[in-house]
Amino acid sequence: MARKNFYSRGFIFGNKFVPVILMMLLLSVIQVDVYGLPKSVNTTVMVEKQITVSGSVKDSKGQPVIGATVVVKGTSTGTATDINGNFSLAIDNKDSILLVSFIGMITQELMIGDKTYFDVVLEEDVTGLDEVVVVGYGTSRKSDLTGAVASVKADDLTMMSSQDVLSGMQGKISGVHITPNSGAPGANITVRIRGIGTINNSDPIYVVDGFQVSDINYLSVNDIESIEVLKDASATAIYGSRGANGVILVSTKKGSKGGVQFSLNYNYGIQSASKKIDMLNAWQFATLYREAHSNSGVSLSPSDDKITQFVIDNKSEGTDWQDKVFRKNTPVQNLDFSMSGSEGRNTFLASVFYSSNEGLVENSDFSKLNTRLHDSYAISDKITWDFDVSYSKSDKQDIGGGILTSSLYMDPITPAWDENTNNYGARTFNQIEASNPAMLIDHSKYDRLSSTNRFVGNTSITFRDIIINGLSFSSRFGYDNQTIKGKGYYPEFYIDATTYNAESSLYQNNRNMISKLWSSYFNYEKTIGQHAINAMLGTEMQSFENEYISGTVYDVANDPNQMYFNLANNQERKSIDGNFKESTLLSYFARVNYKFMDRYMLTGTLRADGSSKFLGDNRWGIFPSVAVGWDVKKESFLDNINAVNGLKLRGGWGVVGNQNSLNNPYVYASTITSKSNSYVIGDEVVNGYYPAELANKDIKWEITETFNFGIDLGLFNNKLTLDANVFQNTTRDMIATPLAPDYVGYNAVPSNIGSMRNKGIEISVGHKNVIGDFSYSINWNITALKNEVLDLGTSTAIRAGMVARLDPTTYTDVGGEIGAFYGLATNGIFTQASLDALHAQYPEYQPTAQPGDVWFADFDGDHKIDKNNDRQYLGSAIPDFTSGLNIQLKWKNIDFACYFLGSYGNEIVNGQYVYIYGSNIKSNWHADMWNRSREGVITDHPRLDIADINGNTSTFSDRFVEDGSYLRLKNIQIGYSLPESICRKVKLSDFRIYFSADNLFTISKYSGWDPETASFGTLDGGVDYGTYPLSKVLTVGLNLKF
Amino acid sequence: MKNNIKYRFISICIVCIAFSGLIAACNDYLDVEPSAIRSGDNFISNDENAVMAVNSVYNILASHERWGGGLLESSSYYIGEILADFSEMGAHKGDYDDLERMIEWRPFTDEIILYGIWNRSYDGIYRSDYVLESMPDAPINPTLKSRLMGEAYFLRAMNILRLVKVFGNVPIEEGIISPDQYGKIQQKSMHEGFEIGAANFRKSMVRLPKKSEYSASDLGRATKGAAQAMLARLYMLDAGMDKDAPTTAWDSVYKYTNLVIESGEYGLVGNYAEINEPEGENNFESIFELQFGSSASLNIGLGGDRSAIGSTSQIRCGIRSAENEGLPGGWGYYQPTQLMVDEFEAKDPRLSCAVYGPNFNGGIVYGIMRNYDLSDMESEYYNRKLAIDPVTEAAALATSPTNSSRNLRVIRYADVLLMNAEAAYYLNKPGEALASLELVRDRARKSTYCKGYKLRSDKYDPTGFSGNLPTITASGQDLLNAIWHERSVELAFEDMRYWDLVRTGRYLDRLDVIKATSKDPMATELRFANIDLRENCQARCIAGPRGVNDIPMFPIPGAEAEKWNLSQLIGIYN
Repeated sequence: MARKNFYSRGFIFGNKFVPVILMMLLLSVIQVDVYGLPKSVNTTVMVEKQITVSGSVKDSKGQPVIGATVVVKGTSTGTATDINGNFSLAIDNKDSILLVSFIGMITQELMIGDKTYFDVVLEEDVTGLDEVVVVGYGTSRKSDLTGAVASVKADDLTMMSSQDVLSGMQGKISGVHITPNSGAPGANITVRIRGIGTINNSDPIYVVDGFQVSDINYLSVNDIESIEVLKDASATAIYGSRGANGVILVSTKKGSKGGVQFSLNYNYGIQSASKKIDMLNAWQFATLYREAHSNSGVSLSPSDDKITQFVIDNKSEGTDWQDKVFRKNTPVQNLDFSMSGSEGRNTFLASVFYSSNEGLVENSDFSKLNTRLHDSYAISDKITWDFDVSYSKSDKQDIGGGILTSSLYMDPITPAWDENTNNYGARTFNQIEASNPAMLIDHSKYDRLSSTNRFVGNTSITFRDIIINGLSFSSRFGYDNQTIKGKGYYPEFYIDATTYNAESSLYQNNRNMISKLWSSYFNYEKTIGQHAINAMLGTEMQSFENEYISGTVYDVANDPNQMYFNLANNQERKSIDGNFKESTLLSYFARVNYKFMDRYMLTGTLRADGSSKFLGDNRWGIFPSVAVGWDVKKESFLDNINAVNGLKLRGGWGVVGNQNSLNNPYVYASTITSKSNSYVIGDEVVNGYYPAELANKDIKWEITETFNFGIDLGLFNNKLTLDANVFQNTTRDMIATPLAPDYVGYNAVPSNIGSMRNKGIEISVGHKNVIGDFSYSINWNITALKNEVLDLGTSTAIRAGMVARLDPTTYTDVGGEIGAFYGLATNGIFTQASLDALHAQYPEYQPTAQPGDVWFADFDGDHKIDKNNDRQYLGSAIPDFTSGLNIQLKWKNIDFACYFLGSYGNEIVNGQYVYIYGSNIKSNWHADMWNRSREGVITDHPRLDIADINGNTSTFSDRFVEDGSYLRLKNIQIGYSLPESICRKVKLSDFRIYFSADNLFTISKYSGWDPETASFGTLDGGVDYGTYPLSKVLTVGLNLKF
Repeated sequence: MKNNIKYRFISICIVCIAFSGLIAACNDYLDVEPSAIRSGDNFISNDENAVMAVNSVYNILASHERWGGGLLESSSYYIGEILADFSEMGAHKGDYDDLERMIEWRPFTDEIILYGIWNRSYDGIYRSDYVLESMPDAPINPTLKSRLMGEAYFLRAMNILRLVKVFGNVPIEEGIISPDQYGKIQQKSMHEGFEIGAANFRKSMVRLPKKSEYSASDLGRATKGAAQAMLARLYMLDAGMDKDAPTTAWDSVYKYTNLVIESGEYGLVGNYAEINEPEGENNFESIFELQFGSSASLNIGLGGDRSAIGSTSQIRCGIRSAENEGLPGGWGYYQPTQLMVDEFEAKDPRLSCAVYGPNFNGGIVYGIMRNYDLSDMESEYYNRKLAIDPVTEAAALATSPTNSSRNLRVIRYADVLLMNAEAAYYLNKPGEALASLELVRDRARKSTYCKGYKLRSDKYDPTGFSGNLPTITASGQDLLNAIWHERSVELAFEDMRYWDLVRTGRYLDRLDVIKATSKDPMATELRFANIDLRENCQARCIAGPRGVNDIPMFPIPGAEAEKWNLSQLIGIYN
């Protein structure tokens, strides 16, 4: 049944057609004759007394400005410039004044007089408040915005060596928290706009030139013209059910006017670990190993006794496993080449981007190839057809998480390679919970390979001035097909009795995701006296498909050419799996911007989204927003206050939805188990199936209600700008799985039961100035956020963040923050005196404790320690504030830039603590443990005890929780551009070389590898599982245009 | 004009695109058929799916507890035997805290064994309910539909009975429980629970075919005889455990055992020793047993759900060691006590089928002299009925501990005869009681030793006994005692010992005996020297039909009780 739909939906959404779209198209068609032939109309209506003025409009770079408005002041007579920037206009009166305007540029007034030809150069309107920003389904002058919208320009994105768009945005925008999930090349990046809005998917959506996509990995930094982040509902509500987590609007570069221009950017960097954790060497380890046993009254086995004594006597250094795992000076490079220009009615851009990164750790390589072609064809003055295709391919090799932590845990006595066995060194001590990392790395050689192929195509047609001036129509079709192939191979090996794999295995999987979109909208702009109106009305259809297959076979030769399913030697043992998901979304939306006296602004948006994930009355969600703005500067009382160049107050309210909150599109149907619940009947296995969970036919949209108040201020000729917002986002009907009694026999289904709130404040301050040859700009932003879970319905607190087989470390419950850390608090280490005093009064209080053990705090007041009742709040991954600081300096041809990223007041659960600070023996120890408590010495670290009877480190406590605050110099860069005169001689239009460094230093008390990558999770944010840390990268680069 | 034509052309194209959409216009863009899932709403729409839905109810019988802890049915012997006098837990102190606390009668409310019984039984009830709610209107062959509903009722009753006898007062509703009922469900009294279980067995009884009416490929499914036999067992437990039990309970036992006996579908097999061997599976005597398979015996590749089809009982109860005489080592649970050995009359061949061990028959099992480590044992014996057969099982078990294909007997004809004897006794028909009893004893008398009793033997070695197991002629209480004794040896390690002691009011007294005798073979100190088993247990008893508090109850899992307003029968569990 579904198959039929799949095909019939076909290329243009098949049979599912929406009358509104049809109406729009019909309307636009009716007008084709008129707007198709503007010139002939003009000529035929021309009367004798009129004079014709003409001219050309160019920007400050000499490029023609297409579509600039040329009107006679005070009349409705006017025209727009053609694709060459030329205009021609018949006027009645030579005393008239011509107004030449274009969005984002300063309007010019021209006295006509006797002149009939005008060379107009429009200057860009550089004052911050008047830049043009892209908003959903259209553009707006920043001064007209009533919502919280922030922008990043292309130049700000290109600093990081990775040339990844999202990395480039990090720290540049207040309220936007961007965290790499790990430092591994090609790792995912988590973006949270105004906090974690839900326990479900909190990812924003990305809209690239009007096409909604789930991520923008297929774009490279040099494809980006600008990025706008819509943060509050008055801005995002136009995306309705997809707006709850914010919207990131990406405008890509388009072809440039005039001749063909080539651009080449290349950089080459070398990376190395930004931090090494100080571990004990072999003889120190052996000393502690012996001590742990003797403390516990356990004698060493004769062989362990000999080995450890030998190592101590010889003061052996042993193996430094981190050196075996982290390589030095591995290369990372990026090459970007693009060609853009115009030819006749076409403007075009073609670009190719290649990036490769060998990673700090062997077998974590990543490479990516992006190509993109954009063409814009002016069918007539008023019809533009845009066509954009991208193809992206990336290859990534992941290492298992255990490799990095093994480099800490593995005992230093074991050699990486054992010459005697001609094999990887076998673990010397059974208690060590790690495998030889050198072996693990070697085994990952053909493992965890993933290859992504992605095609994104996107075409649109725009008709301007249909029926009446100011009314335009756009229709866009987009197609995104992403295929991710995974492959992994785990070889057969034998190291010792417990470290072996008896049979090699090979898995392969393939995920194919297709999303299609068709949107159409009308836009109408009209100014009547003091009233300016801009209205938009549109409709959109989207469909999403996700198909997955996977299989595993066994006994495959360890040869990449043999790693295919047909060459599996074990014909008995194999498994396959697969699934498919599909959903559709149908939407209608409208927006009205109204401005009175050029200073009082009102924006209203309304979107109705229907989703296939919901049934009946719950299917359609209505998402409204209202916002007002007041341009105070335009009031007379500020006329004479010259220091203030701009002052605007904004306030808005809106409701948006989160359709990604529901990962399973078929919650309304009870689902029969996919795996058989078999039984044996008649000596055969018979399959058994039943619905493991009930349907929830009442499932509906998870919604977020937003309030936002903002101020935009420009002072001293806009040398100082300030942009501040306070906001409150309340998520309601949050989808969570309620708790069901066991006596119902089925799994509970997700229901709309929860609620969560984020309140915050975000401030951006900018200062820029030019002093002769020297110019500089400083931008600083800060965001403070408070998260609170308001309701979880009948669901219990959600526990997550398991490290090292301890109890879950995080606890999401009503009244607390999402993923707050809960465990035992501690009062330091017992001394003989403190222990005696305690036991004299409360003998049941940690009855087995000895001096040197951890003193846990009694929370419930019963003078006993019980990890369930004495658990308390120990911190959370949500910072008090995060901040970014960007500094750019320019002196003649030398430019300098740096930016800092900081986070303050967040905590990190050091997942390695239980091992490397362990009282018992699970791993090698941190060098700090040399200073452990021991016979007659009490320090900050507990004594060793192989059974850890007191639970010093086998109980999750505040000892694991560290201050996660950090300040990091993300990038520092110095560049030199050849003077224009020299450039011109060698026929170059631009030539710049630069030297840059990423993650050069970090100030942090956190003892793990990297405070930045530890915090991305939703329910387990800030739990450091031993993530691949970010590298320090030194880069040289070249930018060339010709 | 040329331009004009061009734009007209474009406009026509756009209209065409729009128009083609209109032709196919229907308002179902948002009606996406769920793909790659089977919806429970219409799954039972053909015979094949209907059978699979019922199979998933059987799966519960053989499935693992939701949070680990072995097979659901291992809980049958944890309580049915290990808590009674004929078995030690085995393994090592500390290996299974949950079970140890239960043995010492100081269970917490979150013991994994109890939790497993609770949630898996309810899972099974829900799966039955799904079948029973979906089946009536489904287009299924009427004969098949009736049988499948009969199977669902049977399994529903099995799960209800398990809950009622362990927890006493439990929630049992008609049909699937909707979310608005969470926490609002009234618990049924133990009496009501037995009644509901009986009603479900009755509903299954009228729908299920006889054993002989099934095809060979349906071997293992519930039969009319199984429903009758289980109904008899239910009434027998009811009579001894439920203070509100109907006065006709023993009449019912008598009636339903007679129905089984008169059906001609079952009888005693000639040699007792065969019953628990692989070749004894689903034999003439078997009324209902849990069917297991191994990946080796069923030739299923990975991807089959091995964990749910194989049993762990053989490994769990095998000789504790890594490997022994080339055979896979076991975990050493579930060890017979000297009390059990002493219960057997002299020259009872059935003893050899119940126990083996270092000091019994030279340590031979399955013809092999095995190595034992007494310091690894809680008694001198291991459980012969779950011993690993070196020929049919060892290889599969060496691959995976869940790989035993040995079925577990739930109820068999000898049990029906002994229930019949006991019912006849209570109904004042001693002649019939003696007759049924003699049938069981006569077969035992003529049986051989267990398979491989002699060194290097793989056969059923004859005993050469004569004059053993004399015919019982007792009357009155002696007759009742003789029937009880016969149950304890005939059904040794068939998960009935605890329930027989409880329902007959003997359990608390036996706890004193356990306390006085239980000790490790190498130890001098008694295991429960410092634990007052009787007092612990009595504090957890409710009043039974005898008017005294002698029916022990286990706690409803604490989290479940707390969150969903369930009351514990026993105050100290709160």
